[in-house]
Amino acid sequence: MSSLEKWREVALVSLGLPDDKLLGVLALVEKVPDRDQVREVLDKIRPRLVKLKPPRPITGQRLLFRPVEDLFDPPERYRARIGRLSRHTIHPCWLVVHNLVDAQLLERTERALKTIEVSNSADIYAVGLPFWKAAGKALAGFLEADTSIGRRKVGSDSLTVTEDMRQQLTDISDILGIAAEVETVKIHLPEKPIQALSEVDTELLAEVISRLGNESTRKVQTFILVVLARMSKPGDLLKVLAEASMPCTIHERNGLVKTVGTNALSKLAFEAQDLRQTKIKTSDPVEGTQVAEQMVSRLASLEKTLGGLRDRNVVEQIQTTRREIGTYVLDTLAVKADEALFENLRARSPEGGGKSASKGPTIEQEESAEKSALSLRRCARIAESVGVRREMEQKLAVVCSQLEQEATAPERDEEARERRLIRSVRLIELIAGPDEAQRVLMSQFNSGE
Amino acid sequence: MSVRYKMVISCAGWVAGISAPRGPIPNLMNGAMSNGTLTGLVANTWAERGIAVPFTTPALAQARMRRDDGSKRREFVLPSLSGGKGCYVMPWKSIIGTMTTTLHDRVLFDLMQQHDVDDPIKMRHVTLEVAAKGLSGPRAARKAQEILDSEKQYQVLTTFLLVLQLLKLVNVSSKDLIADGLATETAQKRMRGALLGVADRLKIPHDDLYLRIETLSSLIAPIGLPQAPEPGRLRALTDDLILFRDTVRGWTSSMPEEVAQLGEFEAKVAELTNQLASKTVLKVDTETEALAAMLRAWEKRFTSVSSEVRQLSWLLDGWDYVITLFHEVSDKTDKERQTMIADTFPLLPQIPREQLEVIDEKKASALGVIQRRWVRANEDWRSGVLDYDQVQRIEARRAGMK
Repeated sequence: MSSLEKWREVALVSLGLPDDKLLGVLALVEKVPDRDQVREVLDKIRPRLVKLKPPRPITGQRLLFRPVEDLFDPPERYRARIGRLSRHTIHPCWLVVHNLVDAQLLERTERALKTIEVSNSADIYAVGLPFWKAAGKALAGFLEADTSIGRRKVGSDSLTVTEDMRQQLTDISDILGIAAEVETVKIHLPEKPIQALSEVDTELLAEVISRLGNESTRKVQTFILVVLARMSKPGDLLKVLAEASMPCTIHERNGLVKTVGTNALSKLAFEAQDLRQTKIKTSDPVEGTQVAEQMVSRLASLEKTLGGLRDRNVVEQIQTTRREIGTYVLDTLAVKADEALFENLRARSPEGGGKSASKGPTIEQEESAEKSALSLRRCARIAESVGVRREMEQKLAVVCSQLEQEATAPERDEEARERRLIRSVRLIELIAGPDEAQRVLMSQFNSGE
Repeated sequence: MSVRYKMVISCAGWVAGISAPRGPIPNLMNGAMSNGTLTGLVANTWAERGIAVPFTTPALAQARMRRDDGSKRREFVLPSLSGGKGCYVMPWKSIIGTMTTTLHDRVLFDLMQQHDVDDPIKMRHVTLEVAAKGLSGPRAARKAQEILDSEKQYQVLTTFLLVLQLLKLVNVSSKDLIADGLATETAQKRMRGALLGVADRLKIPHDDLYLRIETLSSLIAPIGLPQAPEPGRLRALTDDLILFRDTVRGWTSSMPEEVAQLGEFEAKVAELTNQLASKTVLKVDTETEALAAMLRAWEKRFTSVSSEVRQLSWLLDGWDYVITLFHEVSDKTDKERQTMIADTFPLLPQIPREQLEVIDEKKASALGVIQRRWVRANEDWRSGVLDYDQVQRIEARRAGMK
């Protein structure tokens, strides 16, 4: 078995491990000097790491990509020409920087990184600043030296440069050029996703935009691109951009707002598409509902800002995205939540059912059913804004009717019957509200009298 | 839709006689405090303060139920309902006309009426009954059932300890009693014989003796006997107040002044409540220690102990919820602790005027200012939609309560 195959096996085994054990594997993997060997392991466990957020030691490579980290997409979900970066670009980009940046600076940086705290953003900034500048220049130099596409030699390594990779490397180089501004703003703004901008945040952003605007519009565009990726309501940032003081005409400013706004909108549209095509895997309907809610909020925010531009393409893209989210909510989320709800409600487990001989779901299963019911309710709440209100109402009516049947189904054991009635009634309450739940409950009491 | 409610200004007088956070005396409505006096603002009696009701509708959480002076129908005191100063007092009919309530709360209210709940002990029984059915979630149902079971067992234990105490009068020790095992025929015979001896000695009819012990045990089980291996619920809650006082003081001493004042106020309320509660527990302990005398002068002594137990249940009513909130943030950040301090402020169980000898009105009146600053955001009920995420948080809290 080759070492690559062994690492592949490690990746597979790691996926089945509990959180603490997985973090143990990660600690060992981090110590492997050859990153190529362990890349597959890291790629496989990355979705879990995103949730666990373990503090990871900062290496030179990780430091390099710190200013651009918000723009990376997994290769299978990456789309070109919307200002995003593919994770596949990390390796070639690092090769270029590693080979072309001043070796002494790189060594000094890596030595300094070993002495600083992972959580100390100020120290990381201090160490990173000269490195980002030099790396940006090295990348720009590499791109200017040979504008052709195809196989290129970098030091003792070689890599294949495609047109899209050239664009991505250019974007990275541009961002590294304004890393000081990007990282300063990241330190001062709230943690991502940024829910709302305070007055102080707005002032800071306006000041940076204004400063960069005096240098070049491209720098502003690059800066907005990065910060936009951290925003939960991207429209808020576009509003700051539209109002910031810059030496350009209204036409140019609107063009800038449109470019970055359309990029964000395209990204959202692709995400919606990915969701529908299940490229974005959500572990349960609850998580899926949260994702859909966030997307609706982002869309509403973008629509508010971009709607004013009266651009037909933009309007069409907004409508398409809305349709995609609507389809996802109705055809995927609601269906999954419905299935999970009844699967848990109808579960029969030895420990369920209390003292009664009739077995029912466990507490955990009951809670899962309730979570699914809440997901359905949240789906109904967002259905109107994505144009599927009527369909969703019909769906909920069917679910409630099934729940009512569950509630009223005959059962020999009185205790078990009562428990099932309450379980179903609670679910009806979560989906349709307490009035409907009370009606079902009272109908049972009245029929029992 | 006609909504009948009245607003009373009582925020400034949650607990009179305690040094409250500083600040200007608020210019409150309806003239009750126009001169900065608290006349009519502090509840005079327990009945006026009302019983804490563990509703799960977020806007109603820990509302207090009391009887209307005139019609004697039930009304609810809702602190910070509108996010402003003071409390709203609303009958149930107005509540359901104003906001959407959970099914749990509707059933709870019906049972409160059926059982004619008029004190915190009855309230607790009804609450546990509803929770055990599963109306506040499966976890709270299991917890309620566990509590009901363990309270039954605790009452058996209390009875057993009282019997042992009596048997000492006829020189039968617990060792003698359980020499052949407690459940054996010999032990049971020995116990019955010994109890007959006790009844003769106390000049009480044989049948009455055990009945009195059972009745007393049922009454004092919520407090428990001092010699019990585990303290009773109210005794433990009394001790928790000291932990609450010290911890909250520790947390808030380094927090911003506004919070520090609030924390200090809450700590003092806890301290005062603990002092009053400890005195009451001591009185009950003293009475039960002289068990023989009590059984002889049954009517008089039992009435006295009943009154003390009732007093204690009123005194601590609502503290279990505050203590649960407090435990929830024990391992959380300062920010979350600050929120807890602010959230618990309007819920702090008021000590009525009749319970306090000294009322420092001027200081207590300044609480209104703080109340204005620390308000709960009851936003969702205004839109008429129940925030079930919040409902579930309240239910989860219920599942964690003792």
